Amino acid sequence: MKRFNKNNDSVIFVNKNFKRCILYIIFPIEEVDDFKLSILEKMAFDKSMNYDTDKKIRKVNINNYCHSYHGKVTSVGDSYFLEIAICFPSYNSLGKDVLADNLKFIKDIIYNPYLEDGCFPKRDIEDIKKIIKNKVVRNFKDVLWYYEYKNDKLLDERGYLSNEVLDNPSGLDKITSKDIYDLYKKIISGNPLIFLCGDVDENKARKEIDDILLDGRKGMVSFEEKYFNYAKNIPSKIEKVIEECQYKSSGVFYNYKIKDIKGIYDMVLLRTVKCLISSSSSEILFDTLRKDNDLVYRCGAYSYLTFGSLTLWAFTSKKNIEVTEKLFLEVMEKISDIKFISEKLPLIKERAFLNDEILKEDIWDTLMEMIDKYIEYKEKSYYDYIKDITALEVKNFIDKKLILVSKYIGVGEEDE
Amino acid sequence: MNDSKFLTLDNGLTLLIYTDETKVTSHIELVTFLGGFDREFISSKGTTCKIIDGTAHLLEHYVCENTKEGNLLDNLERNKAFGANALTNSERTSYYFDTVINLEKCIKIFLEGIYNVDFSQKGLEKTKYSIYSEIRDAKNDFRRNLSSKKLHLLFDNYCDVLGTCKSLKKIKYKYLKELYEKYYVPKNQFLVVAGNFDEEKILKLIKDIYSKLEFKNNERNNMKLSNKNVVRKSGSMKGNSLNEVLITYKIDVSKLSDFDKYKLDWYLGIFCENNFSRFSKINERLRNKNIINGDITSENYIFGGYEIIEISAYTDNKKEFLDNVFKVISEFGDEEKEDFELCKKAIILRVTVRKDNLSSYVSAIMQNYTDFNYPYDDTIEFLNSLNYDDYKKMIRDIDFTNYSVLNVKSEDKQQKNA
Repeated sequence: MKRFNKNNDSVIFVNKNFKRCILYIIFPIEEVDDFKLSILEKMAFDKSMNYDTDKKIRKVNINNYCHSYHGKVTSVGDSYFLEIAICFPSYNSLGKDVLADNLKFIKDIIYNPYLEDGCFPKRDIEDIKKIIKNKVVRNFKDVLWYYEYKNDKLLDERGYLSNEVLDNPSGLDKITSKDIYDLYKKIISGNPLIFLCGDVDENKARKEIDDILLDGRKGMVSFEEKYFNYAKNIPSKIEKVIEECQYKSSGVFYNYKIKDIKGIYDMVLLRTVKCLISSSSSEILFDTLRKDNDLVYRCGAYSYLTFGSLTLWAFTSKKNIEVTEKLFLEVMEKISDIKFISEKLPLIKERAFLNDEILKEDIWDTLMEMIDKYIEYKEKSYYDYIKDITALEVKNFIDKKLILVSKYIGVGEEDE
Repeated sequence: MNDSKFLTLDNGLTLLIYTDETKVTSHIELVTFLGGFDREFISSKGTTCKIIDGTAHLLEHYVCENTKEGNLLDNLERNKAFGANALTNSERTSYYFDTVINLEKCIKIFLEGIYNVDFSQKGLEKTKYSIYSEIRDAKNDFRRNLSSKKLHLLFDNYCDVLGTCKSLKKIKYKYLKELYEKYYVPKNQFLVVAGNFDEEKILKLIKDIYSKLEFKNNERNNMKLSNKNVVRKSGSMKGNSLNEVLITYKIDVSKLSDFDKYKLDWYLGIFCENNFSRFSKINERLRNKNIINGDITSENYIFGGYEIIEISAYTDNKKEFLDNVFKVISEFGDEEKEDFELCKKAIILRVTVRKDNLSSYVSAIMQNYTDFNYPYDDTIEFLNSLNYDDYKKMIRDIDFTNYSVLNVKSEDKQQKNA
């Protein structure tokens, strides 16, 4: 497994098009425990010993012209990070440089967290557990969420797509505030990666980050690049799960995996196939199920590009499950036609090009695009990969590498 | 980037136009003032007729699928538009798309499509099918059902925007066409054009397109307000693992001028943040006494012509929670000026950077017009003029006696499928 190894010199992307700046900091997480991380996400960066109430936090943020800040757990594949981001106006939009003040605040929030009896407040941890459990209960009432959740469990390998908190929320009960604090201490004891994007003076900003935030925490950042966790299990027989449910709608899901995945190239082709089935360039699934046959309101396709799977899905009535399944197979047949691919591929390429242009409009998209390249998750954009791909390559991929592996059918109650 | 501006064309269409050369995309949206709250209309014969539940939404689908040139959204996407879609809520119907290239062509397809629709019973019956599926899917959408339950308690004219299968089956194409001809007219609509384009050129194009269109009746149709009193003071539903209490105030602002409604909305945002958020004294008090789990939350918005304030928390102690809420409201006035000024500063900061994101900026300005009939941008000058004494007076003048309480109860066991 490849390791990311770079010095944590702050990475600054100067962009004068935006009124806001974003300071984005990530700490790699080595110990991945779904239960602990779900609590830590809500607890981390909440308060500090200097800013020990929400009111004080609010006051300092407003006085620092902090537009927003948040902390959360984020992931790229199986590489997890504890993230904190703060957003503030640029000097040119405000008439005042507020980076230093916001750095001081962020430093305090990260390295001087609010503790009671040497741990995160027990009361807060217990509250968070209750709220997470409540959210899980609510999710199970939502047909759109539930069917996708069950399908992902069927599709999954090695627990990659699942989350233990959803499967067993009572697992939160055994987690203590000490557990969460110990995990937090371990995470922030490492060196962070720091990114700044916006209309800034690069040299001045770098110096302020070094002096105020990093302040002796300069060094290597190292973590395993577990970005891709390719599915390997191609069963000899298609697995079919049929579940009787109390929801009104029925859900039909067909899952495909890739045989002998050869890395990024296959992922690009997978994404292209997804676009052939369901995108603004080609809506053959929607056209077939809804326009031509009046079977659905909603249907689509999604792919897990770090896992290597493609899913077709539709919500329909009980009596139309079989015909929907039949049409799924017809759609897959249609998209393997070289004429169809030749007609749609230029549109997909053009859309990919336009998407690259559109990303530049949003400061968050701009920042994430840069970070993905910096952490070596992506070398180039989807358009740069796809522009030279041929219709024949796509057809060969569909015919020889894309394998139907499983089907999930949630049978609802309503027949109308 | 320029400032946004509102214009009124000769045909009465209100237009919001905003150019920003730092952007790549343009956003076009046509809002029609017909939504689920519209329950009756005056027919061409001069009689008052009921609008059947689900009509506005069905009409939206019908227009998208049955323009004289075929499917509107498909035609837009074939010409490189993206995100083309339509949406109906209780008060209005919106058609919209974004594009990077082909803006002029897409505007032509968009407007000429919406205003040239073929009506037939066959087309109508086909359109209904996907909505029957949509209605079925919505039955197990918990969040949607929660929102619906809340609004049923507040508004006597509330009905689900989708309607029901039964109500849709009653709708015939001639009735739909009559409503279309009544509501899809420039004086009852609002067009938004925002992004990177030549303003003069696009304005000329829009005027040219409208000059070739004819409308039978071109009048603004005003939604009839619901009865100002809430329907029921309390209600309940099941669904959580924690007990949740939501209190929703329905505030009559009909006697205020448009500007005062707009100003009050800002003040209510400050009021909610200072008095019913994680930063508030009530939150601290209730958490210290273990009356609530997590934080109290609140928001305010315009709905059905009324200001709505919603305050909620997870609590097993409904009475004590509500008593505390009532106390804060009845004793309002102790709030520190510093808190008010802090909130105001935060608002000014948000508005200062808002133009970074085209849709955030444009949707806020659109809301000024659709919610308050206030066709102006949010200016720093106006926000600076908000003051503590005026704020106290306007909040104190509000009648807070009209509210409803919804209890979302925990269930003993999860559903069978969990």
